[in-house]
Amino acid sequence: ATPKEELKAKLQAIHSMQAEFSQQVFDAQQHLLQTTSGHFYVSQPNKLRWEVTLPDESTLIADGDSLWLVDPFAEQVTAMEQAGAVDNNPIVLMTDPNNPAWEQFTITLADGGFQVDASDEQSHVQRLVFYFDGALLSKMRILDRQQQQSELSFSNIKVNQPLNQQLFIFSMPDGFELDDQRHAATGL
Amino acid sequence: CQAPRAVRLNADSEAHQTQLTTLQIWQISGRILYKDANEKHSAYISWQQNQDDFDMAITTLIGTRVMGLSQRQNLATLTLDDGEYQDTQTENLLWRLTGWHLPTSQLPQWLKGQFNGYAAPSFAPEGWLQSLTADNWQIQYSDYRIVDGVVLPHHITLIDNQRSIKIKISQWTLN
Repeated sequence: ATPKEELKAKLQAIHSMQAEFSQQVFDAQQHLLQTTSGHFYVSQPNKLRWEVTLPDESTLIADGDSLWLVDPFAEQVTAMEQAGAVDNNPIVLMTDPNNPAWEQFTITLADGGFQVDASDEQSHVQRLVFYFDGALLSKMRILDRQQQQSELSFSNIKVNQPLNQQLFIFSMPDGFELDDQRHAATGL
Repeated sequence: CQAPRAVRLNADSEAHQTQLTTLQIWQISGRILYKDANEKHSAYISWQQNQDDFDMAITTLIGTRVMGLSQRQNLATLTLDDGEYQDTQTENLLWRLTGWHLPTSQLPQWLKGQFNGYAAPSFAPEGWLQSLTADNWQIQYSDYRIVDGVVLPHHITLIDNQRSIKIKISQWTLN
């Protein structure tokens, strides 16, 4: 099987996933810029919740149609089309192994992980690397166009156990502003 | 520019300001909210200061970089997704290319709660800076905590007539 087929098979086997994560962000000179931690949930197809709890709260929800970025610090929610967001947010792709957008990436085996490189060097996220511990997704690395790299390590991982679907339903916190960047809404 | 204001400092403020001036190598990471008439940007900010040089990174909520700005002696460099740009001075470079107006030449002092002679400070009873008016910026400090023996602010708001900037610092690292 090609690395792409192997990665797709591994991702397909993860119908749902729940884990705690810790993310370390390094600049191009490998200086540690910041560390965040929280909870990470995936439910195939197309649903994801990335909940940062420390040192500051923010939540990214992919409900299948839209990406909602809930930012209490700014008292703002940003809404984006989920389909269109793949360029800046290929992480969303992991929730849909059959998505044709996978063709925009070349996948090779590297450093013990599946290295997913964007073929368009204009795209914001240049590379994702998925590391598995058997069937479990244990680590993810994100490299962007300015060579900043972040590493998400997962722990307390539960795979294919029922997840409360409320986790993937967005509801507008009162008093927050909505920055709606979805094409449909703006009629572009 | 105007002559420095004669500012009466009590002993605590004097001692604190002196301590801050000796702090030359430090790093912060936290959140920044930049708002003006037509834009609102919320992101992570990290700032690494090394004597007169600094590196600032603005990062999205998923950890990818929006922009990087650095000052080395008289060379300012701004990196964006679409390339690298240079000038002698960071403030103008940042404003020209991103529309963000950040007082980057003053932040090395202001982020610490330190001021220079051209400002009008007011102090908390404990001696540290509570607010500051300088170069048409109104700056408010709060959430002071001790970090390795130095009292440092963790919440700063900077307002001028066209924009407001809120910085919430989650981590100070002193070398």
